[in-house]
Amino acid sequence: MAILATRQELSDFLAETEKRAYKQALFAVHNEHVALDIVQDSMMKLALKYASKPTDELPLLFQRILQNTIRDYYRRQKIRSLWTTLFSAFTPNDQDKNQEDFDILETLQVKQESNFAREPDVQLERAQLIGLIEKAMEILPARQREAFMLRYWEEMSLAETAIIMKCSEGSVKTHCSRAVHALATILREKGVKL
Amino acid sequence: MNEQELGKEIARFLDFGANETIKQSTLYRLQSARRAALENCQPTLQIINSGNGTSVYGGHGEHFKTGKLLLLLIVLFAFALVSATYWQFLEKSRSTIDTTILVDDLSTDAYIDNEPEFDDDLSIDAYIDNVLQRVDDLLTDERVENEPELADDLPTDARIDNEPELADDLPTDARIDNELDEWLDSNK
Repeated sequence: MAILATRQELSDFLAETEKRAYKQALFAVHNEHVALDIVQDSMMKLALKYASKPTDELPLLFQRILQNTIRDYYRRQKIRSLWTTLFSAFTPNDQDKNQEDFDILETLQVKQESNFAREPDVQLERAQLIGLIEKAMEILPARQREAFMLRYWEEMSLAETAIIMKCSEGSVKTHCSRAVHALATILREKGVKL
Repeated sequence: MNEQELGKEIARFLDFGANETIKQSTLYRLQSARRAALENCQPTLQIINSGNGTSVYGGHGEHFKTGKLLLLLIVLFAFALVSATYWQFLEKSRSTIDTTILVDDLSTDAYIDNEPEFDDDLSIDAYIDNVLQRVDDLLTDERVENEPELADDLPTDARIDNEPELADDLPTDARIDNELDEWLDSNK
């Protein structure tokens, strides 16, 4: 018999998942504020509708909600872009935007919990590699990125991934394979060999 | 390195990125979002024993009541809609038969005499069929020729003019008039 999730278990699950969920949304929408909104909406929906589900079902449900929320954002963005295309030239570029959003508090370092990098040069190299990988993730096609995230990052099974993506397991395999090859190609072009 | 291993290696670096490159303010906002979501957390469903071999889920009684109330409102609305439509159709049929009677140049008494017969002896469907039959006959200009058939349901007074061959067996106004004339002539 499945054990229903308690409030504390739901809290622990969200705390453990929220960073990856935020990164997934950020790779998909390329906007921090929108990514935060998507994660918050997903958390709200999970807590409102599925809080009483068994603990082992929460990851699948949350990922399904998250991916659906990202798709909803794509749909709204597509409709909105029809009306705003003519005015896109008047929006500020990313560099100006970053300067406007500068906050001194952002310079505070996050607590380093892993001891993966001890030397400054290794740490710098790893930060650069992470930056390259994240950039590569952003330029992947949406379906390939979704499949890769669910299969390799969230470590979900083929069947679970197929349910979330609403496609066949064969399609999931194809998307994953193409995503890995595309990432390998991009990293190779940047001179990175894993 | 094969595809699986490469995928896992990239995922490992993504993990590092998620743990190290997210801004402090973003982490704080994520934490706030999590707390807000947990505040809206619905109460846990509990299994309630409701008899031998049966059980029901509790915790959402208000939603169940809302659903029943909504269903009741829908049923009432549908019933009112059907009643209103039927009433309108009935009124239209009555006005149609009024028109038919006026065009037929029948007396009002003929209609009044027949009305209880329709209401008491015939069903609603038969009544409507009868009315529609009369309207059809009126529109096809064969009214005069078919009138003796339609007149079967009408009282005797309405059939007098159209069925002279039956006049021998029935006390008609014509016969009365003739007898009255004969009596007046004999008494002159």
